[in-house]
Amino acid sequence: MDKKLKNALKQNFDAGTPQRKEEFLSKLNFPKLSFAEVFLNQIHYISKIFWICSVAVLAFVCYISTIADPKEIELLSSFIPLIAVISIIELHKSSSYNMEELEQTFKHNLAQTTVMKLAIVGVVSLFVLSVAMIFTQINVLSILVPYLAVSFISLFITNIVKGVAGVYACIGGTSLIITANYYVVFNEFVIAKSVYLIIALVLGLLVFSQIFVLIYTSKINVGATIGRP
Amino acid sequence: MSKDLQEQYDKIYNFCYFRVKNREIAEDLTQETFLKYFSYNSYIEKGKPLALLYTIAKNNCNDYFRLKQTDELDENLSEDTQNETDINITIKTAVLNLSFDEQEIIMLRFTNELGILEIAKYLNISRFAVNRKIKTVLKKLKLDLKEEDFYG
Repeated sequence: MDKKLKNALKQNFDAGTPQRKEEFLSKLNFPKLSFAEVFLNQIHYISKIFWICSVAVLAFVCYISTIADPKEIELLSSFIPLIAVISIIELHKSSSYNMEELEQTFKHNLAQTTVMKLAIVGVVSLFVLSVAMIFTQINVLSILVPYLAVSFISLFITNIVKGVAGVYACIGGTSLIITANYYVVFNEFVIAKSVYLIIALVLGLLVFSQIFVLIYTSKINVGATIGRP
Repeated sequence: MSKDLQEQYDKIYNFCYFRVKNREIAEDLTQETFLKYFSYNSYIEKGKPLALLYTIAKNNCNDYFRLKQTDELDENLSEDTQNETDINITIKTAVLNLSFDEQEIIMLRFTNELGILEIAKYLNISRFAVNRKIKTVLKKLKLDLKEEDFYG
């Protein structure tokens, strides 16, 4: 359709500027979403893949724990951290789809939605981990250490490498950790409980520091890119 | 105040003006439309359908016509003819040859920039029917405008 006709049609029905708009809209008391509603709405924006993978991991762990012998169950500690990598890929969805700048302009900006999503995926992961621990009767630390290691490495990589490349690098890093854990468990290396505990604590702190970096960068990174050609 | 709300106010005002041809009344009806729209909380939660906003506006305009006679409105039509360019007069003449429904669909699509899906929801017809109608109306308009030497 030609531009001239389009513009002419647009102008033809234009009623001009309304006189009492500002006055009316400033007084208009329209319903707003509460924080709880905004928080629950975020569940819809978490991709189906995350939910499917979480359920699949949970179902697989529960199923294996009923049929495998106790030594083989230990190998599940290499499988459970997959939830961590799925959660972190989900948190970096804005970056991998190059939507950071746009999301920063929303009423509930990127940092706020990241925290909300973090809380949701955190609760889901905690639930899956707890159920897995109860079903498999594996030592808590042997599940937590690979889980925290995968969480840390995934967050560390995706905080540095933005976009789709970050997701691939994250999967690569996770594979390395899962392989290393599998090697340790398969060869039945004995690691002292106290050493395991220290490793878990250090990894926990590192994960928290990376979460802080994630929230902080989602606040400032976008501002730095605005106006870039 | 949200930018979206301000934009929708202007568009509903255009829509009401298209129907009642009086700025004061159009603005009153626009405000009434918004007040009614926001009283339907359940609809807002379902993603603020624009079609509902337009349906309320249309019903408000129809209610207005039911209560008032159109005599006094004809006087106000003259206020639009001031400061008009030749192009505007040509296009206005061509648009006036269209039926009211055809004018409405053109106004929704090109002035209010509504999507095909939104128009389909408002008119309660399929998207294909909306597309077909728009194409037919544009064909008619182009024929008329060629006769009027719109394209120079």
